[in-house]
Amino acid sequence: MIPFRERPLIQPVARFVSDEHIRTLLILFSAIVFVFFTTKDYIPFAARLVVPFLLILLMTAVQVKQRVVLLFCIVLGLGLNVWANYYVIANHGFMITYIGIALMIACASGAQASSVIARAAVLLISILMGLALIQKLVSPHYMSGALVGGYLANGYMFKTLISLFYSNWPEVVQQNLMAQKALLSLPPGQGSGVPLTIPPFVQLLAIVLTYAALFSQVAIEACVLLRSRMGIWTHYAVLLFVLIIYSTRNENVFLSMNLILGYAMTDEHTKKARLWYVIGIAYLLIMEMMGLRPGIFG
Amino acid sequence: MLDKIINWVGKRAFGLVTVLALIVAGNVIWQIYLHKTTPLLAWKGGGFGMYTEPHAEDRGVWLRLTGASGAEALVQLWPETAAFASWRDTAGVRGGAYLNGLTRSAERLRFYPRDRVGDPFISRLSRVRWPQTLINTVTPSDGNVFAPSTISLEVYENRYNQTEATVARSLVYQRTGGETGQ
Repeated sequence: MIPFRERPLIQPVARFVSDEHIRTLLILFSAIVFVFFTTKDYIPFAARLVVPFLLILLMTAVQVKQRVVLLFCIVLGLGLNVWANYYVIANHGFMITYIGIALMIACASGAQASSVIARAAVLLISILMGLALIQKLVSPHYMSGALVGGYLANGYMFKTLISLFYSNWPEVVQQNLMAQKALLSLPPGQGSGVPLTIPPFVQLLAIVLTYAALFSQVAIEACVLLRSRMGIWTHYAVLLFVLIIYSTRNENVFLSMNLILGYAMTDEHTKKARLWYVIGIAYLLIMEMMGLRPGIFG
Repeated sequence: MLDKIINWVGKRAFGLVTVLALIVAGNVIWQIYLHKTTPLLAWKGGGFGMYTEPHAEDRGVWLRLTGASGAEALVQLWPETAAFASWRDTAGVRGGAYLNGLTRSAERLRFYPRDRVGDPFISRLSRVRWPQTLINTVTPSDGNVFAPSTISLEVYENRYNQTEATVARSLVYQRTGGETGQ
């Protein structure tokens, strides 16, 4: 049997994304920025109009100077967006700007670009994941299981899966959502709380998932910090982590940014993982553009 | 000139990505500090605390208007009500745009309610002639409009309690027009 990456249709792509590290990164970055700019309603119209053309130029540019100048223009657009919406923009607006700056610096370094972007990716992943982990640990809301419990109660997570064991779950979820919506719309002073219907096994599941997410984040952080010993397993862990988050919430663009950082971290010894990162990013961006999500995740 | 700058950046690339990492860490720590000391949402602003705290969709914005006789009217600004939407749709082009702007401001206020945003918002709200459908029989303090000192902005948040399986609503921000700024 022919291995997956040796099949006629896959082989050219596999070879390109495995051998052309920086060119693939520029294409992936362009794809993510394109989807980010065209699917988020707070991006100004002028930026939506101009940036796609800059991205086409970036993907086809071959000279260092051209790449750096184009990346500077795109980063300027991303940075202005962050500046104008500093307290309103979602975290991935910051993250894609950081990635753009790192890529611009890497491209300026010419032959060292792969090593520079790999170092930047390691720093970004370890800092952002580490600080996100600390935020979880210092949040009483998260640590009590309330965050995950609330997601389960509202049907944001595993609605279809729970329905397989508890057939009334869709109706219960609907009642829970309506009760909270009514509470939010009740004049202040006329009500301060509502009870929700949560079966005991869902409450237990919330606690299990809360700690499972915490431990998986610790494991990812450890894998990134010990990547020289872990080798390819660091990348499989990153891919698994993204898959786990994907099963809980529709965060396609943010997860594609995690994957591009994973791709950037790869080197000659771990380039086997590159194809999987590219497939992952392509899948997430297509799903985002089409507004689709597998039914099993609810 | 451009070539020199690119060469300069290229030669110091490893150092510059380390500086970038320090800036990123500093920015995230600043956002975490703001989230812990003010009503800034963990989901927004680069603090990377998403998946720890309630989302903006769990927040609602209310307006408390005190009339000439001391009676109060409560208007829900976000989520927008059918009564408000119906009023906006019949307010004409300019009036509708103004009211639409108020709704958008209420929506944004949820992410980081603070006096710097609240005060100008109250000032804009004080120019509105509120219809009976929203304020019932409450008579505005200044004839047709409510003076800023009689307008209060309030942001509430729904928060799930895992142990009791309940959702409690609490006030996370309140600002009355004319108060001394922070």
